[in-house]
Amino acid sequence: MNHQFFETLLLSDTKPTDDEAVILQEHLVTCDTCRQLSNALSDMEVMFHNSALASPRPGFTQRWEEKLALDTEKRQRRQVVAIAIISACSIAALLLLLGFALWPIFISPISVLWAKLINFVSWFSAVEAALDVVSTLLRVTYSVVPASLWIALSVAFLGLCAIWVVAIKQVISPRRLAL
Amino acid sequence: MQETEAVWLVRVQNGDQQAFTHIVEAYQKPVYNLCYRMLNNAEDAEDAAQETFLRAYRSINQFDHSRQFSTWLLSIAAHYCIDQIRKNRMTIISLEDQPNQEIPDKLPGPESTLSKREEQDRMRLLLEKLNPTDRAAVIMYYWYNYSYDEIAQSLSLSESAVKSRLHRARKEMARLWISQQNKLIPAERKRYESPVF
Repeated sequence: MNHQFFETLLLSDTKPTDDEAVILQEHLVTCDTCRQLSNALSDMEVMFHNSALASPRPGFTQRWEEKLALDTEKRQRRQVVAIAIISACSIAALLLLLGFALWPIFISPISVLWAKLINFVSWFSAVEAALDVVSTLLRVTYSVVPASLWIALSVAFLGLCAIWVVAIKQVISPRRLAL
Repeated sequence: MQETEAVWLVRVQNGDQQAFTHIVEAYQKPVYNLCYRMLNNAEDAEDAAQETFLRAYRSINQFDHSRQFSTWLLSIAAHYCIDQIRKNRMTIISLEDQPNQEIPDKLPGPESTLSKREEQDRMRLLLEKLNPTDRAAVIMYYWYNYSYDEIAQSLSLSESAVKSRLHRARKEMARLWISQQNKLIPAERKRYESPVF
């Protein structure tokens, strides 16, 4: 006999239809296995439904408050430790970088200072030489270009400046911006 | 109750720790019961219930007011207990080896106490054989009368998964129940039979 259908009916949470209930009852009269299953399920349900909720020992809320206080303290301590560790690591990293940068000075301070001085002097002479070149170039240009050309160039430059100023004024005029 | 609970929850979300104490007071029994049925041990259940309230308190700002608070709270408890069972699976001691931890019984008399204790033992044995998620589903279904939808929400499962888990659990428990009955009957007979026979 196929018990699968009846087993599914018994284990199902939904109520069987009237026809199904009749067939099931007829089957339960003749089938020991399914009757045992049916009895077991109903006994179990009764037992579960009759079973009371288990209660904690008295003072649960107070114990919870104590636990919360402890947990908060632990969290705060953990935060302080974390901040201390991060700060210590940052300081260590900075000191390490500073150590790398200043290492040559610690080894031989006089030679480092001497090298810096030579560097400064060489930079100073390089700037002086550049200024010499620029002044010579200006002097040569001034003597080569005639005075009339200088005047023409200056007038053209001033004209361009005037056009530029007028154009800017036109662009930023309030009327245009309102549009 | 629902209105007061909503007020408490808002107060807790605004940083009032005292308001959460009312919630602990109101929900300690259902939370403890779930933990006790899941873990089968009063001490572990107490720890789990305390931890559940602590977790709920810490993540109260994540609570969605459109959900039922009890479902959310029991969901935290169930997940915590499932994790604990999985963690302890390697070191777990069989229930048969554990001392009998009884639930306070309101009915007086040694007979009723004995029968209650036997019933509790049987129930524990049945639940112990189920896998943790099925066990949580059975507890929520029978003790809290949760719907499939509520169980699904609490255990992060689909409704069909809950149905099939409950179906499987019932079948498994019925099989165990029958085998327990079969063991009990010869023992009972032996106890009352005359030594002559």
